[in-house]
Amino acid sequence: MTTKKIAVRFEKVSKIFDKDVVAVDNVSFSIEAGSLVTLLGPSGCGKTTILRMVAGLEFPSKGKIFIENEDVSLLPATKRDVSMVFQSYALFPHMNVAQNVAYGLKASSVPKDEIDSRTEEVLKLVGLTGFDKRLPSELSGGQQQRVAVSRALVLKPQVLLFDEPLSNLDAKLRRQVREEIRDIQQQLHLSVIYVTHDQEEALAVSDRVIVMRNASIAQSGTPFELYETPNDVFVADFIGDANLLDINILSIKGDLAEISLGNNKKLTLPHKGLVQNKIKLAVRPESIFLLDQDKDAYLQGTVAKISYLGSHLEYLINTKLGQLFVKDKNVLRPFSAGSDVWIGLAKHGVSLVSL
Amino acid sequence: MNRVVLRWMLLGLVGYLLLPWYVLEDGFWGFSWLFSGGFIFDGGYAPAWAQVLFFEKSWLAPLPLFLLLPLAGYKRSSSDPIFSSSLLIAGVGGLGCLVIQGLSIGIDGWEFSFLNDLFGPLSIRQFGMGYGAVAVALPFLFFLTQGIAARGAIRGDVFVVGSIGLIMALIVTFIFFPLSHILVSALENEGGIFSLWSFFDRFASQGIWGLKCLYGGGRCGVAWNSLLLALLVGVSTTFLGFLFALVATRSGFKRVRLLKSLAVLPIITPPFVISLSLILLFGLSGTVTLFISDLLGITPSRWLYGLPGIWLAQVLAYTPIAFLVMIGVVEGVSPSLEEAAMTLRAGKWKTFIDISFPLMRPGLANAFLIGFIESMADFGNPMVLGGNYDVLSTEIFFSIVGSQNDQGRAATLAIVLLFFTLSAFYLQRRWLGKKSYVTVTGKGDSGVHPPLPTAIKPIIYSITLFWLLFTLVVYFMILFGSFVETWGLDNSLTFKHYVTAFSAGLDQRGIYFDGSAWNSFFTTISIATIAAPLTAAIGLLTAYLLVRQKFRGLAIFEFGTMLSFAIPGTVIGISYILAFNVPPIELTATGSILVLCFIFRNMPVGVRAGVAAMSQLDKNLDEASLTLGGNSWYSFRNIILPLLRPAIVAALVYSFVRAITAISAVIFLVSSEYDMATSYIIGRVENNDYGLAIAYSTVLIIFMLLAVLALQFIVGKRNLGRRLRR
Repeated sequence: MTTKKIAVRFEKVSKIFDKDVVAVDNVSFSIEAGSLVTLLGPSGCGKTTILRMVAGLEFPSKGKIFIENEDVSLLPATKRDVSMVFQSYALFPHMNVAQNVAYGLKASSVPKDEIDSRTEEVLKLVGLTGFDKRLPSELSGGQQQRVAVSRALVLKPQVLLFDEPLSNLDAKLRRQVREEIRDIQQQLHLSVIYVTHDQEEALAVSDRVIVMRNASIAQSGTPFELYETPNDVFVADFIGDANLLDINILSIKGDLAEISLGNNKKLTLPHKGLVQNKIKLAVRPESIFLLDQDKDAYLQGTVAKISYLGSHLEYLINTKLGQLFVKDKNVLRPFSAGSDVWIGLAKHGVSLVSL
Repeated sequence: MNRVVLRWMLLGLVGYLLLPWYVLEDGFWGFSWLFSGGFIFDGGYAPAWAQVLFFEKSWLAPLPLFLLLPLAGYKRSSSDPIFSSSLLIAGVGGLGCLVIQGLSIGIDGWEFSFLNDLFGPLSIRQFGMGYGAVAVALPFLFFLTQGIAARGAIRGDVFVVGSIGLIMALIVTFIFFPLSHILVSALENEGGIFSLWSFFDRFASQGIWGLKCLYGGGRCGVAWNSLLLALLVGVSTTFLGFLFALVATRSGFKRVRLLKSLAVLPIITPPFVISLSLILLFGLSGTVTLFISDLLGITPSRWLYGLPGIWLAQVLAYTPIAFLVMIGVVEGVSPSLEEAAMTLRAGKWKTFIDISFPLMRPGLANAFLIGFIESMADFGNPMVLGGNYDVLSTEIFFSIVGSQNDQGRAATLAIVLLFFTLSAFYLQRRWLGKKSYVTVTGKGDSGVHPPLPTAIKPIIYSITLFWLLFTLVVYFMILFGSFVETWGLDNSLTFKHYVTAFSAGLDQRGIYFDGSAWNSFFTTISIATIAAPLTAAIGLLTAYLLVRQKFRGLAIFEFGTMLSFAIPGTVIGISYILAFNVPPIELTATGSILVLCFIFRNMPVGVRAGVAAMSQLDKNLDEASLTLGGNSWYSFRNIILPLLRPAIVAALVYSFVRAITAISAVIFLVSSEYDMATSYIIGRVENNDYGLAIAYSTVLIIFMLLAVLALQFIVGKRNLGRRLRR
């Protein structure tokens, strides 16, 4: 692990627009070469600004940016070995596919034969052979997207950036294209930074995810770490759904805290150094199972509402800790509205988070 | 130190060592000095170093130091402070040196008396700057901008910082510098001594602010005359434009495109042409006048010459502009708002009064201010129809031309005029900018505008129809009048006027043009042809900076570029005369002064065309180009310019056409060698030679109509390739 090369490193970077709008606030992180890292967050959290700073389209107001250990903080976009796939694709409408792809090579004065062979190669990679004379307006959305990707790929950049690349595609295509992007990234061993606000997309393609909130990093980790052990209420709620419950810590033994939800049965979880007044219990909806008796239950409640969604049932359960949202795979034996239920918890998807 | 710096340095050295430093007597395009051999020893032609050695111009000696200073940054990277500092010092020092020597030493030695006291009288005179000085000034400017870029401004982008520097330098030199001369002239008394008192004396004069006409006896001041006229014209054009817009959008009228194409008329019509046509209709021997006097036995009067005539001509001329403004506003009111009001049980009339009209109010104010500014700035119509009704723009002209030749008075009047137009311009931008209710959103809005209330429909229809017919008659009279021998006296048809003006033939020496108008016609076309591409280039570059770049002082930059919209042509004309008559920039009576005047008068046209087109280009396109390794100049050439082709063509044609129709500034700047079509026509009018004037105007209108049609043909084709995915 220690010998892995670092592709991009941010050192205490801040970006302030118009003197008082803080878009990025004192952010530090590093990205290993050959990995796909996603910046995930709600709109306006600063993720695109970070991407644009990597590209050199914005300069940091404070702090330093390194690409492969070279300080590029004040290096303009033109001189950075970084390519970007834009949300709008930004294909040049007056150039055909081949001209679009060759643009970057031409700008850096690559010899003509090499331009042709590299263009052909990359178009083959994304499956667009034979489309080179088409104008962007004559392509479908998915094809345009691939042209945008190949235009960025052909330069063999140190870092490849994706700014919400799937947002203009319909839902079915989205899943297919994101797999293709992931495949190419693995195949060519590219360092990729990927911006999205779609948590499912982020979990699906990433080696690591950096969750952003209000211009700073809320948490970073592998998709598994983020889903299973979110640090705080924001991350728990933003990635997947979570029931956030007020609970009491009964006792602390080493790293573990013992908690009661109301019934006699106790729950033991890592407390991560959190203190009583700034803590909640995050429970994934699918980590709750409903019981018809008190045995092994942490809490009692009544069914307030039930909806059938084909693959599963969704319940709203009123308890004295508030309303719980539950996904139950067991569609054959539904509890009826108004009936009493008892709440059991799975071994995963339950963690203590800070406020 | 890079190649770009070296190249500029080379240009500077060529300028210093080889090119004639001062402006040449035989004109910008005169190249006889090249072949004279000994030009180095001729004080009029010598380059700067020779001026220092042989002609005692010691103040030019330090310039090479600044030119060579960037060598200090030789083989250093652009982030090295020595690199940027050497460029900054060279740029500031060199430019400072040039400007200070240029402003302080002129044709009679020292320009300022305190320098005379300080250094004693100076017997050496110097002329305006020429090739050499320009070739040296440019490197200094770009040293400065490269130094600023190297310090990290605008992401270190040399092209963008350089462009900003260039445009700012041009605006300062050709807009602010001449305007400052007006101020100086207004503050000087007859002896050329600075005196605040003489300014107030002139400013407060009865001729400007007098109110005698109110309590009988005498005339009112020109300022009041201009103000009254502009208010009347603003109100009338707004009213008519509004009615036309209502008819076009809310009456089921199908020929909106036809109506809109009428709005092109004022662009291709020289400003005084309508006055000429009105004279044919309502003048002493006008058709209508004669008809009515025959019918009712009323003696023909000169009522047309004065406020009513100018008002009528300007309203005819500017209603189409108001219509263009208003149709955007009237269409912009979201139909769903009106439909919402009607589902809430408001009738057509109530909906119009309570919903539609209030939403259009800012647009009305905007149209009014535009009409106001146009009327204030208009020179051609008051010149032809003014009679005894003096307005500011003509009064400025008469104070400086002819027997009066009172620069102080002209400058003072110019300041008053500038005050009015700038106030209107300021109101329009600050006040209306925040109050726009135009409700076009990205959402589809499938509603339909409700038709006009039935009660007012007939009134609106009859007014607009009448005005439309009137406009058509006016334009028809221009065409018809050009074929009539002498209007009112001898109504026989003739080609005489065309022959006099445009006769040409073929003899053994080739084609000859012996018509009296050819000279000014060719001058006009060539000057407009030179000015148009320069105008478009500067305008589009400015638009690129305004839309695509963010930098400190952007607001001031924008204000500076749009300012010349609000500066009346007469003011520009007088300021160019005052500023460029004497060193350091001597341009009077050259073609260059006309070209420069057109560039900076018409620059806002190019800027607006560029801004409109560029706002529709996804900003990601140039960013994509940047991340792909094309620098900003490469991106500008390969991405932005090709996509802006329609805007480029539009800017070219409009600046070409506007250069041909311009009169107000031009009339100050023409010379016997460089006479322009419009000033030639005005001259014919002053000699009561209406036939020729009208014939010439007809030719111009048709010529420009063809130009505009060609434009629409070209742009219409180009538009197809510009579909953009969002």
